[in-house]
Amino acid sequence: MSRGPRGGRGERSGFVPPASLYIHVPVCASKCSYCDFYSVCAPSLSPGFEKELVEATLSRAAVLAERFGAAGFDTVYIGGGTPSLLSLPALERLLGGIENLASRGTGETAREWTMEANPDSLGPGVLEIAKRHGVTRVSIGVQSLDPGELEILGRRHGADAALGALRLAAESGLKVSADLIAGIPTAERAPRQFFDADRLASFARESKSAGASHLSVYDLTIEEGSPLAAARGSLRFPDEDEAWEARRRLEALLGDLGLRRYEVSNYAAPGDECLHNTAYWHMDSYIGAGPGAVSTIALESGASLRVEEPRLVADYRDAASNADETFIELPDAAFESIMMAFRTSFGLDLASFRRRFGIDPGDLIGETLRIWEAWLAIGEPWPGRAASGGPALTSRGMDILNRFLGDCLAEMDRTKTHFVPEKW
Amino acid sequence: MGVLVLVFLCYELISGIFLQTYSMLSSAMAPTVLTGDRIIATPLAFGPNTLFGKLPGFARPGRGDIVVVEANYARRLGFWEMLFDSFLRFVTFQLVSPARSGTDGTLPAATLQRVVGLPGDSIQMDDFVFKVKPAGSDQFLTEFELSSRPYDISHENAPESWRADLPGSGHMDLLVLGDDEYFLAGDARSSSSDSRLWGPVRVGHFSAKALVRYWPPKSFGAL
Repeated sequence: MSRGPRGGRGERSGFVPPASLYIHVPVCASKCSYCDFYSVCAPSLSPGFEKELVEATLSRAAVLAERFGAAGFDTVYIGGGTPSLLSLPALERLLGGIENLASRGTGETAREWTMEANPDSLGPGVLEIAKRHGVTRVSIGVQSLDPGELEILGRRHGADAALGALRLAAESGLKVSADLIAGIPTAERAPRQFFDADRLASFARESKSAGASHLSVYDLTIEEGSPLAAARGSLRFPDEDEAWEARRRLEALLGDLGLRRYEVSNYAAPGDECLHNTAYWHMDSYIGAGPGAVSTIALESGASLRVEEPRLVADYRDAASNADETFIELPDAAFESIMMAFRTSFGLDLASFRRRFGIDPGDLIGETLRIWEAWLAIGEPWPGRAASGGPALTSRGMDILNRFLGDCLAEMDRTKTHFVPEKW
Repeated sequence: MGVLVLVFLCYELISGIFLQTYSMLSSAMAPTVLTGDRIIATPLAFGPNTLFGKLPGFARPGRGDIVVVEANYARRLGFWEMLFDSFLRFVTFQLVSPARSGTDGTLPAATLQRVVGLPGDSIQMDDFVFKVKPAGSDQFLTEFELSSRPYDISHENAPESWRADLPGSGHMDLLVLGDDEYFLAGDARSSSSDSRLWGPVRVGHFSAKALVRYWPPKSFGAL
């Protein structure tokens, strides 16, 4: 049995200061067919709406930063929605406020600052403002380079616009990441196409050629309530074998191009990983501001505090009253930590885990680690941290991550009694 | 049927001209009016908005008054929209009102705020408290010293390095109000969208003057 180095429930109020900031901008020009996220859709936003959104988001970010003791931010990520859809004055205001918050008035900008953009709203004006305020990286929603697939996804841009946006961003000197979607269906009534397992890889190659040094390839999930769910009956989806083959060929190609799979859905050359997302996977504290954003703050006791912001823009000015706060108790926080770590090729940081939870991972999931030995390797060093030498899933293991996590969870149901009672 | 029409017209007369009830949906006026509180306000004070246009009011907004205002960005309703909104409020016992609940479903159309500055005032904010120099006066006084009624404010803190021109900083540069311009602010200075964001408000945007809080019963009293 292990005993933690720190106390239990009484220390809930001690926050581990966050060094990562997420800003959510829930606006879209139109709804994509696969999306069920809350967002306000309009081809252009009214000045009043933008003003309210930006001012309330900045104000809330400042309050959260103060409450949780943030001393500037190492990483910033502006996601959505489509942040690049904001008008240039609104974007200027938003980025100016974030720059102040990230630097804490010292003038030192965040080490990594990513902004999401869609190909149809990323122009030179957006890039100029972004660079001036300290943005270092742009993540562009390419999704596909096939006109038919883009139509099924309800995307507003074509392949040329997507490649053009990648080139424009890369030429501006920013790091560029491209999002692609795997497992896109074809129209059932169209002449049945032979499934092209190389298609995804070819999109990745073109994106890389156009300037992307990082790729995020997400499997298409059909959310109930999304337009795509309603059209499901008239579409043909790739089966599991086809999807697996496409992913395998993608990985082989990217390997040849020097990009390795460092997380279930992410590929980059060493040194080009997304530091902000790495902070999530390492379960570091982070602040999320903007309608629908989430903050997760590690507590000195090892547990976590999760703050979910109100989703509606109309409620957001009053976020302090409308946010939902949940304590994640120690065993649940420990499982979340395992769950996130095994998404990555860095794996479980043993020293951090022991320090935070006061228990050896072997005491919690030792049997699972033995059973899964053939699917495990020694984890790579986490970016910017000392090498931990902890276990990580191989790429083939990542393909069946959920099965592995199911085994971890089942074992933890038996072993979580190892947490000393006062740590609960 | 005739009786129902008569009742509706009476309802329209009373709720459109004399007394309206409002439910507070945010904490923007905390600690004075809290989320869930219900108040009675009179449109008569500043001129009721009727189906036939805005009628003249009998009072001018005073310092410290709590008022219902249409947001500057809110679109004015047409005749048929107002009639439909009145009808909906009538049949749903005031529970449903598209006109009051928002514009484009994204922002509130009506808000409760306090009158802090009057036409001709010079006004600025330091550490979340407004300092006001009334027209013709040569010195700044705090909003509390000038108000006709006592009240308190609430706020949350931003980091020390947060620039004064950023929202939630507790500071506002000097602003001189023009003719028929009023400066409004919520008592919860960190969670209120008010004249700091939208600029001064003309009396034409004032919908009603808050009179009484009737819910919860333990907080019943004049505002």
